Amino acid sequence: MALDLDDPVKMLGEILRGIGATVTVDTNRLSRSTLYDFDYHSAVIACVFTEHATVDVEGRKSIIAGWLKLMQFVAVRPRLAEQVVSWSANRLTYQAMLWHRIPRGFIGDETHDATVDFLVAREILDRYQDNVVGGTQVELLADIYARICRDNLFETEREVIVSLKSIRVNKTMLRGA
Amino acid sequence: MISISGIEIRGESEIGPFWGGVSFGSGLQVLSAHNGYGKSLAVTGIAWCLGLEKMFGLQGNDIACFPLAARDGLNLGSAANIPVKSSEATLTIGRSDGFGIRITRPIVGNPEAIVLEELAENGSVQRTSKFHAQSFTMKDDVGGFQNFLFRWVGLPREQAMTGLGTTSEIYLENLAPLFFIEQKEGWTDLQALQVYRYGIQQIADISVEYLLGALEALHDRFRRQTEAMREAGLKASLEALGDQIRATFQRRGWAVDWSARGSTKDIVARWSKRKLTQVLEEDFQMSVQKEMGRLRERAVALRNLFGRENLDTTNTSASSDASQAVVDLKAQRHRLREELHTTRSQAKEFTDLAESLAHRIKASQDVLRFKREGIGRLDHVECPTCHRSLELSTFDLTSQSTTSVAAHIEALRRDFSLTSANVETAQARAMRLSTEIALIERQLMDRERALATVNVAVGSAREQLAKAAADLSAVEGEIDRIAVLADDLRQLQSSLETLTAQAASPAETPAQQLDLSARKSTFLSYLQSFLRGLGHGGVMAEPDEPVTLDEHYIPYLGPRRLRSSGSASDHCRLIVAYVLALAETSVEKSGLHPGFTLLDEPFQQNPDDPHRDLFISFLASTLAKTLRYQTLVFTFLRPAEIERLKEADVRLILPENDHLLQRIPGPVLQPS
Repeated sequence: MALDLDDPVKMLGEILRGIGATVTVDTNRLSRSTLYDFDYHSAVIACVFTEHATVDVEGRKSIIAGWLKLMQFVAVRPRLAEQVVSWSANRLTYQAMLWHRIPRGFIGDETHDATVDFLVAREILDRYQDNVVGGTQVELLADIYARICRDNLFETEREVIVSLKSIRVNKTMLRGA
Repeated sequence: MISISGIEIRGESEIGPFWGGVSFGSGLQVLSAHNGYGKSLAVTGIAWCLGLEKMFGLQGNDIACFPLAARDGLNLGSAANIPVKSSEATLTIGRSDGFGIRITRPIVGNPEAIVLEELAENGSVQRTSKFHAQSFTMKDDVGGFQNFLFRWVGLPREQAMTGLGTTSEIYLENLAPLFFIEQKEGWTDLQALQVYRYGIQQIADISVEYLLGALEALHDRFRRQTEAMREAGLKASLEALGDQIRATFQRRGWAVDWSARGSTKDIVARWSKRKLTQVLEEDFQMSVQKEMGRLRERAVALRNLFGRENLDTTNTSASSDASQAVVDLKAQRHRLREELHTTRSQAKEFTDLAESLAHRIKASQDVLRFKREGIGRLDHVECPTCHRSLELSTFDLTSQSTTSVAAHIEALRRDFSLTSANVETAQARAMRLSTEIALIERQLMDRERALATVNVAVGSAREQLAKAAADLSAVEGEIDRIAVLADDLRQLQSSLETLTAQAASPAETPAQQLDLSARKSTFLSYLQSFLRGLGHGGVMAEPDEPVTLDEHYIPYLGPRRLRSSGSASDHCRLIVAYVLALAETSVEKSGLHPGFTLLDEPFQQNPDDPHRDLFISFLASTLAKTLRYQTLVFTFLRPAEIERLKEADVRLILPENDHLLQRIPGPVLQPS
């Protein structure tokens, strides 16, 4: 049986039919998650960058690219925050028993990479070595964050982002090691 | 109907006694004096003598409502900042039948002690009494000031419902924001000085209805509120009983759907369908009577074994039976424990999932708002080299439409609802399994005891007797537990029947709205008339748009709230029109307005020339001069404005001194 790999719903339907199941697709339930939405990602990046970026020697706001990626990943999945804290607490003494707590999923978050690429093209952000730094229009992110705070949007995400300001990790850990 | 005849402030300073006073006549009159004269002192003195300080957000007897200079250091003539040793305010009020009262209340001194003189038609003092200004002011029939005032003015005392379900009364400070417009806060909104901290429900609406004299509507509102509170109390009791019933069933491992969802009527209809014993029989195949009968029969059979003739001396199975029962129960317990462990894990996973879904719903709702309100949209970028507009798709990104996000939220809600149901089911199952395990453990304990007894017995007859004794003990324990269950069910059924009887709603009486409609209609008519007379920009610009009142007596111009129509200075005109319309309606419809309206510094809200000119034109108009209640305006008029009002025969009070307060003796101001 040839599977249509481009359409996961069709693929699932064919697999189910293969075992004799009757497949009914409720199109009302097929809705794309906002986890893949550009606006949501850019809003969360604005929150993380404004809260976590520090000023580098050249006076630009800067954040480790991996840290930005991890923070935005955890912010939209607040249940992971606790695990990140316990994982980071053991950064100096690697413990094999804690390997399962590392939220490796963030490494493959392509939507985030594409959003950062877009923001770089828009000159809001820039890339420099391992860091993401502010571009010529970086103040747009601060404006968005101010509006988000004023309109009380993404409250949980912001709480997670702020609560994780006190933790420290090293770059090796951010590579998913 | 009452009117203010005069206000006096007097006292003792370090350089001697001082005094100041203003007298008022009937109808419209304007007191014009420059800033610093003491107009605010006079206005505050009126409020103070009526015990209205709570309207300014103060506690009772707090003199902070008075200007600082009047409390601590006075300016008397050329002497400045003279310490005040004692002071008091005296308000004289006249009633339409010619009688009057003079209220004197200390400012610097004991503000709680009011001295009240009742005046005859000729002004002679008939009786002098002392009242408490704030303490039990309404409840104390003898010493309560408001109690006396309401009675003397002829205003009925009306009950109102508080948010806590207790009853309160409508106080003068609840009515005053509709006829006493103080300069600092009074102009910020309709009833800006309303006292909400007593917790009276819908007090702003009630105050309007009271002044309109719509007592039928007030009583109907109170009846509906009382009924709503009774229903809320009943609902809480039904919910508590529902919890008790569910807990009673769950303790024995039965998950019963006995919820208190919906109105009390719905709950009663649902709960009255079956008795609790029926639920037990139909849903769990458990009849208390039958079970009790079965256990009693078994107990009798076991007791019979103790008769010598009933023992089978060749039967040696007692020991192995007892042992097998223990083994079976242990196996059963093990199976149930495994099942419980799995169920608890599932319940936890479902709970985690539900939490995640709740977060996803909240985040998606925020994304929807983010998109709808266009907060920080960054979806356009220009290629730095070719300057072509780049789409999000160039970056493998998508920006969902609001429809798509809304659909996602709906899908998440369905998932959340399903997951929540799973959580409930898993938790109920865990509860049932825990109960079953507890039951098995109890049986196991009995069986182990029986096995131990049988093992120490010697001979088959003794073994049988030992087993029968242990079995009998277990059966009697079970009988006791069933008896407790029967008793619990009986008590719950009794409470249930009592509550459902209470919940049988009384026959609904139709609302008496006819009287209110007529009063509202007159009020609206006057309101429109005053708005036009005052030159309200919104109303003048849209003369064909009808002015209406919503259910809270908030005026609307067509579909918009009148407050948001017109210019900023129209706000002040709206408040003047509203309070005057209420007063005139009260005259025409025999309402319960006390009889005077006080407007403190209407010009200070917008001192520009067009605003002043509109207001002066209104004061000089026939509409204003024919006001039937006393209307007092405290302000500062320019010379040309004074001339215009004099020409229009408006009564003016124009003080000659620089300050209201003078060293004794001082002049009494009279209307010109």
